Amino acid sequence: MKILFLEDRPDRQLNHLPHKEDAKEIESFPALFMPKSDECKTIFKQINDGEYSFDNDLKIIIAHKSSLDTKGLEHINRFCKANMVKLICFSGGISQITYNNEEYEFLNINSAEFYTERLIPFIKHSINNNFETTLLEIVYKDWKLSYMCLARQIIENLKLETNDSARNEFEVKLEKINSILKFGFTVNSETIQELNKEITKRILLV
Amino acid sequence: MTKDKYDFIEELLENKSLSQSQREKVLCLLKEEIKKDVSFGKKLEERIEKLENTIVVDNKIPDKKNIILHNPRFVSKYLKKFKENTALKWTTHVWDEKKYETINSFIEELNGDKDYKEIFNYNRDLYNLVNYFIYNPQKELDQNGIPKFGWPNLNEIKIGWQFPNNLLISWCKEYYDKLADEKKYPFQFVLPKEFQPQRPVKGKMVTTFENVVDVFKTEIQFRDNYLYKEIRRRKSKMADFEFVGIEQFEKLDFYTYTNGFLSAVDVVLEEIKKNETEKKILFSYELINDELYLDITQLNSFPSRKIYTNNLSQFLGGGLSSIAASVFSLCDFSIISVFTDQNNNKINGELFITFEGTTGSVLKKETTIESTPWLEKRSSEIEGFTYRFKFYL
Repeated sequence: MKILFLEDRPDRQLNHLPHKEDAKEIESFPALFMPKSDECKTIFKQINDGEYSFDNDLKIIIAHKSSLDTKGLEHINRFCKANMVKLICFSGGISQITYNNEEYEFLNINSAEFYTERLIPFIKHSINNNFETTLLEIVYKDWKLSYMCLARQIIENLKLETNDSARNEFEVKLEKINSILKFGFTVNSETIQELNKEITKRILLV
Repeated sequence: MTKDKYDFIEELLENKSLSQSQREKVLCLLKEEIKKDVSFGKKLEERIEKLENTIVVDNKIPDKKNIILHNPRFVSKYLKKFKENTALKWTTHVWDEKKYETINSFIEELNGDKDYKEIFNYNRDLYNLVNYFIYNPQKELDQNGIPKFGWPNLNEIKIGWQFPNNLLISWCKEYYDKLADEKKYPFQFVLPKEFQPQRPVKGKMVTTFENVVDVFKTEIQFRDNYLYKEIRRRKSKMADFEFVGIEQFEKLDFYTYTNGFLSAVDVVLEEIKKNETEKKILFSYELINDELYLDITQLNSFPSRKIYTNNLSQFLGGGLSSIAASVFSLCDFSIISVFTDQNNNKINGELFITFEGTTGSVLKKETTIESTPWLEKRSSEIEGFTYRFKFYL
């Protein structure tokens, strides 16, 4: 098993996925394990009790966040951190996407944004590329371009912002984007020309 | 006639906006002044008696209604209902997974849950927030039907599910109940201009009811790295201090009244700043069974104030009392350090300030801890002065 997919509300999955047959297709990937309702609930309980033993071959865990309590989330975090396993948490209660790749790849996403036409291609792409695929493929059609444009916007905002606290927020965001884009240069106000060149290249590529 | 310092103190104590603890602080300072003052005479003695009477008159014994109990287990259990399959959950989750026939059927189910009333006995700010967001806070409206006061600590937000004047409910009757194909959901309600805060709230503009819900969610739960972001924000304002270990908070989610806890963190940091020589602050947490221990330690910092083992309350200054009041019924609060007792003996110990059975009183908006703390000796090594918050998950 390479992907553990914990969804304890199959009805929600059916409602959100764009096509009726999508859920069946997800189940059909041999590398993916999506336990049925009762088994799924048992696994969640074991995770929340800190007793679940994850498969050592796992590369990605996908879990309905509302079914995890503080302890369960900690149990999964520890496993992912120790084994560099990617983690996707989805829930109807999540109001903004959070992405982090510092200790391991982690994506926090709203159910409606998770269950889109990008999900199945992402799973396929991950399996075919030995799980080197970034989780950002679920969020953006072209995540690199999106992050480059965001970086440019932040640099512009920083020019105008005078509030120290807001500036700090922007600077932290820019630092994070740099760690995601991993260019040979640091994206900041001094390298905006280089960034623009990268954006142009990317647009021409698309 | 020129005013002397005692005239000034008298005026200060007559000021109605001064809180009880502030008044007590003024009296403490007054005592110091008197010690220095060589002209201590009968006249001055009379004036002091008058000032003390001012305090006594104001220091009314709180009536039963104003006594609160420390019950963090109940508060935590209640807040978790926002993620369980209850009507409360659907006040903060989009309705695409659950369908109510009409808005009234939802509101009826919501009003059937009376547990929130109990929070009144445990934490007034949280009670007022929940009451405003979900029920009917019965706040005064101006001539245009806009509440004069908004949410506790977020005065610019002046709307909830049922308040004011069933504004949202009336809209839902029109756009949710009646429409079949193009139904609009409560979260899609666009706030009337006069209900839209002029400035961003927590970094975002609030223009729809969904935005209101998003703000509420961050008031009752540390989620999506909110706690980490808030600590990081404080770090940026204390550039000469080193914040160690805050990254681990990035994925820590738990239910509590976040504003109460963050107010406590602010006071902790103010206390830490008083010892300017020790610049390292260690942030850590540990989960043991269903308890979360969250520690903030100023490394190598130890209290200079003596602890009187026969009168432990004397150790609690304004800062510690204020921290305890901010997290009343949210978590237990204690401090760990190497204390020096009245005989100059060193005691490695933990001073428990709020714990099961603690009572408090509320006068105006201020909470005062009524119970006496207790001290437990510890054999483990102590690295500095730790503020410990014990949450029940």
